[in-house]
Amino acid sequence: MPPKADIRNEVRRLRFEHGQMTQQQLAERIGCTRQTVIMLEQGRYVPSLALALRIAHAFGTTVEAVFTLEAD
Amino acid sequence: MPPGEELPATHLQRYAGWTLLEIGFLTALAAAIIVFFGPEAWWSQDGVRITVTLILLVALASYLVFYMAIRKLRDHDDALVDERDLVILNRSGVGVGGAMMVVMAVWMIALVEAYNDTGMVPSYYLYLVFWSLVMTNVIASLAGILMAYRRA
Repeated sequence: MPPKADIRNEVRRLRFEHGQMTQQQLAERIGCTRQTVIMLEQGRYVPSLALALRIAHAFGTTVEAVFTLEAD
Repeated sequence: MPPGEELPATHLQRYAGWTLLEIGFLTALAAAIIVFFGPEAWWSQDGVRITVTLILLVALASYLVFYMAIRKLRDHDDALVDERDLVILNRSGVGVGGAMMVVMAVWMIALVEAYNDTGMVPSYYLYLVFWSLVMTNVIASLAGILMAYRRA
């Protein structure tokens, strides 16, 4: 069994790079609550593949550019 | 999130909190009536039995309305209930079994201690045990939602 992986994300940085997008704006764009965006940014929630794809799509990038394994 | 700002509550969190308050109040009211009139009033006084049953049915109806509201919010286009809320909702039942076991143990110890001499437990206690387990299930699952948000 592979070791438990921590997943780091660049959501906060990407949000600021995309016109200082607010957490609420991002939440509305990707179809989740603002609390989920906050938890994502704090690394306290790992999204489903579908939500990860929607986040990447909202920033016009790939999932790998947004999410990386802590070990990488 | 700016420093000092509190984590915004989700719709599920708010609804669960209000429903828990409402059902907690109704359950406490029903319990207070039974304690005031005595458990034997369940059989001997129709008014007490009907009043308590109605209060508990209203509480169960509130629980049903809560689930229907969450279902409706989940299907809403604006993602008022999202995937994380659903994960939390699924986790909320973890403590229900334990809470029911505790209530059963309390009933068992209390009834054995009270009726050990005669060996005969009045049958109205069966109804009270049933209702207490139903309400424990409801309250524990709502409290479980709020606790799951704290842990998540």
